[in-house]
Order: sequence, then structure tokens, then C-alpha cells
Amino acid sequence: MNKLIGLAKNAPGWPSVLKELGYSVDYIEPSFRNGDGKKVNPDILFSSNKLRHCLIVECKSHTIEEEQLIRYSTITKEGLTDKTKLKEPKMLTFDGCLAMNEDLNNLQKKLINEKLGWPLLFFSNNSISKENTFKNTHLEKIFKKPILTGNNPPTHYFPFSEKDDHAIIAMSIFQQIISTVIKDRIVEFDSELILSKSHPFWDSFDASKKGEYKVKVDVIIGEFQKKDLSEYLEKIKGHNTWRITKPLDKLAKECNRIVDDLSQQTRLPVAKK
Amino acid sequence: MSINNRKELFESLQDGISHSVDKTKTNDPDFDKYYLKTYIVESNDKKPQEMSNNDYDSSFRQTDDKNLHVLKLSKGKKRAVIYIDSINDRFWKLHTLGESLFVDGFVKKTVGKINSHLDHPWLNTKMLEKAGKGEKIRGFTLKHENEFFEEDENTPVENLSMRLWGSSALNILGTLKESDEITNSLSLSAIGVKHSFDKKEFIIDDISYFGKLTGHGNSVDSHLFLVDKVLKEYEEKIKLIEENALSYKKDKIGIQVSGDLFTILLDKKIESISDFIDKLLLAKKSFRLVGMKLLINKGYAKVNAIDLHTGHKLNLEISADWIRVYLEKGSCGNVVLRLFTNIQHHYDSQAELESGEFGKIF
Repeated sequence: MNKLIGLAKNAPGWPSVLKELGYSVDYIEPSFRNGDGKKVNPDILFSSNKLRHCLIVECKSHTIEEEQLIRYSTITKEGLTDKTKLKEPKMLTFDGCLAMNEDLNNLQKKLINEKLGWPLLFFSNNSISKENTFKNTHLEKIFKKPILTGNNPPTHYFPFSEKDDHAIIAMSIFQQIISTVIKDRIVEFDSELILSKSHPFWDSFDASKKGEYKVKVDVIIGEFQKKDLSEYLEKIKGHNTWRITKPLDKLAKECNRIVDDLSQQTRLPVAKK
Repeated sequence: MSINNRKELFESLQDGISHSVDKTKTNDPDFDKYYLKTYIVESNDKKPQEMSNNDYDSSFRQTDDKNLHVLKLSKGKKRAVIYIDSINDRFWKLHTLGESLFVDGFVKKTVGKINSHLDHPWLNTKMLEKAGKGEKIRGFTLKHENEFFEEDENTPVENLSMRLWGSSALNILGTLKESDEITNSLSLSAIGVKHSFDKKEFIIDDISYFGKLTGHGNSVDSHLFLVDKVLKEYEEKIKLIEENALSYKKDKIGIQVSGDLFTILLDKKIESISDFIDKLLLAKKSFRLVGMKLLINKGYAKVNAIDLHTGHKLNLEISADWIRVYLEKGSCGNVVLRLFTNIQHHYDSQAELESGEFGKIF
């Protein structure tokens, strides 16, 4: 998601191809009805006043659900007119696409092409390539040849997902703990409090996703509280709640060391769930 | 004299600095007491009476003007009176005729405490040059202190400190910038300007990069004019930065994202990203940041930092050529200018600041 949002921003070291076509992000995780009156929830809705065009993007990791493809196939212009920020929404045209980090197998591609036919954007380590065709000629022209991106994608628009490596989640969580103690003078916290403050999309996650995040964060804090952070954090008996016990500058240094170790994979103290 | 309102303060300061043009007083070892010093201090929801420090004895008094306060300070044999003008509740003006070193120490220690909710304004080279526009330039000070890397025989300039006087001083700065060896070490730390409303009344002020103005002359009006000139420009930039901070708003359709990142573009490449970030996150001195780094690849890292000034989060991405800065809505924009100005002072004086939304800021 960060890589896509970055395309509509001016981030040095990352192509701003969508911004150059006048696109900006209207909504992340928008919700609207398709032509059959069913709810659809793609990941990002971009729009460009310059092109009077909307671009709907669904980010996929591994699984492609047929039912979701069918729902996307009946998205209509009418479903979008009051959801976009275009100045003349009645004049809009739109494209949809699926974005992913890895190539798909032939079976999945066949399914997508049969049910939906949307273009597919593949984000590799240093380029973006496309299959299928955008209806909008400007978009098609931009993505026709692979776009070299370099390997410096923006990472902070969507700070972390529940599926990210421990290092990425840990650094956001430790940052939030220190910030909460300084700013809000709260020294006791649980994973829900920290997640609700650290993740700007927290309120839009459903209960199941919130649960996945909480499990992961509980494990990270719990494991490190027992080991590296035992001098700095104390677990409140009988609860999944912790308390800061040492000066913050020392805690920050220790957190930095942990993230460094996690990123280098020199040890894996946190069991994956 | 006990100050109870602005008129009395003005008269007292006017009386104090009028001696600074008396040549017979220049032999006075305490000549500094005739100089009017004003420190601009940024406050985040802090009250003037909270401007205290355990290392100093102090007494606080509010005058008849609810936005004018008197702070008496002492430590050992040293004493000073500071008048806090808080009519602008975000940016206070602290006026004093007290000894510079003593008051500097108090202001820096008080502002620099963790979670002080106080900060200096951080005036970069372009801002100082702008403060000099329309004024008679009297000189400037260059100061570069490398805080990032150990020097070796290949380091062109380790530390640089230079003071030039005269109306052509800025032209000389232009000439110096042409030298490849020192071009990244030429950040202005102060600029000397003369302002006068007429031939007889004038002030010669030294405007430093951390928002201190030290004036001698005979016109408090001119001094205050310069203070307000500097402050107006700074406030405008802070407003611009804070309006462009990244914000997320949920409504019935989805999540709206507004604002964008800022970029510090470097002229001097960072050779070791990891070492650079370690120095940046030391929490010491001017940067006032702690946090965690994650090397995504050899030439690129993300940083989740905390601004010790307020406890707000600040996220960065750092490559050899640029630093992306993500300021969250509600955070103090001062952290962006603090980072940028101190990068100019301690790493690369040619660094530039851009906004993703509206282009070049400095």
C-alpha cells in the first residue's frame, strides 16, 4: 500500500507517476456499492481531476478470492460518483487494478482474467510491471513499459501490517510506548492502547484483524519484557498490561538495539504465531 | 524599578540600552548589561510561570498586564531579571539586560529538558539572510560543528568558526561558497544588522540561529521591530509546515489522507547511513530525538523517532542523498525546522527543505 500511495506523492527516490497525471488519494479502504447493490471495499481510491478519472486499487498478497473478483466486476461509475473528490464526478471514467509484490501463478491469473480482466501491477524490488490493459490511455502509456523504482519505497503512510516482520512492528510499538509515556504521561499500557495510538487505520479494522494485531504485539512486548526489557518494563500481575520502570532514554537505546538485532535476524527470540 | 506594564518595561529597557552607545562605558567590564537581549521561545501549551529550572532560584510575578511577567533568577552570585512577553501564546519573547552567559545557560537548560514543551526557533541560513533583507548588514558569523563523523585526513573541514564585519560581509560569503572544500560547512549562525527609523535612533542587533537577538544602540523600538520581523517569518513557516502535516480522517466512505512528507535534500552524501542515524538519535544537543532505526538495504533506512521536546512521534526515511520527514498532524512543526537547521549546522550547510505538496521551502 505504501508503494502505491507513494506513486501519487512527491517522494524523492520513488516515482511519482500517478501524481504527474494529477492523481491524489481520495480514500484508503473506501466502501461503496457495486451495480448489484453489494458492498465493495478496495484498498485505495485515487482520482485525477486532470483526467476526470478514478483508479481503484486492490492490493493482494497471496490469495485471490473468486467471490471478491465477481463483486469488483460489477463496479459502476454511478457507485463512485458520490465517493470521489473529483470536481465533476458525473463526467468520470474509471479503471480498476490489482497490485501485488509477487507474480501470480497461471491459474490465479486465468481466474482474474476470466472474472475481472483488470490490469495487474507487480511491484518487484526495483520495478513495477503490468499485465493486461488500462482503459485510460494515459495510465496505459505510463505503465506500458516497466517503471524502474529503485529500492527506496516510502514506508510510513501505512506504518505496519499484522503480517509484517517483527522488526517493523516492534519499532512502531516501542516508538509509541515511549511517545505515550512522554506525551500523555501514561506509564501503564496494554497492546490495544498502544495499537490504537500507533496505527492510524486502527478504527477501521474489524474485530478479527484487531485480534491478529493484538496477538502479535502481545507476543513482542511479552517476550522482550521477559528478556532485554526486563529492567525497563514490568508486567502487571494477572493482566496483559505493562508498566515502565526506568528512564526513557535508556529504554529507547535498548529498543533500538532490539530492532537492530531483529532486522539482522541474528536471533529470533519471538516465536511466530 | 518595579515593572508593572509594557510602558514601564519599554522605558526601563530604553534607559538600559541607551548606555550602550556611550563610549565612556565601553571600558566597563560588565558592558554586556547595556545590551538588550531578547530570546524567542516556542511554547506548546506551557504557561510562562512554568518557565523554571531546579538549578536556579527564581521568583515569578505577573504584572498588571496579564501577558507580561517578571522572572527573577539567581544562582550563586549571578542574578538576572527576565521579562516574559506572552501576548503571542505560542511564541514568547524573553527580554533581559542580564548577563548573556548566565541567561543563555538558563534558557538553554530550561528549554532543553525532556518534555519541556518549550523550544527555540531554529533559524536556518535562508531565514537569517531574509532577516537581513532591507537592513544594513553589519556582519555575520559562520559556525560549523561536525557532529556526525570522526574526522580523518580526508575531511575537508572539521569545524569552522568565522566572524566577518562590514557591509560587504555577505558578498564574501558568496565567494566562500564557491570553494568546494568548504561549501558544505558554511551555515550562518548569526547575522548582524542595523535598523533605524531615523538618523538618530538605531539598533545594531546580532540575530542568532536559535532565536536570540542581542542589540546595542539607542532604540528599543528598532530592536522590537527586528524581533517581530524574525518571528513573523518563522511563524509563517511553522504554520505552513503544520498545515501540511500528514493526517488521517475516517468518515462513512473510508479513510482520507491529507498532507504529505517533507524532504531534506542533501548536497553532501551520507556515506554510512547507520552511523549517521546513530548520531542523530543520541538525544543530546540540538536534535532532541531518540528512536529506532531499521536498515532496509545498505543505502536506505527507516527511523521511528520521538521528539523529546513534546513526546510526539517523528518518522524518517534516510538515504545517502535525502531525508524524508513524516510529521503527524498535531505534532509541533518546530521539529522539522530543528532537524533541518541543525543538519545545516552540523552536517551539510547546503541542505534544502522541500514539501511534497508545495515544493521548495528553503
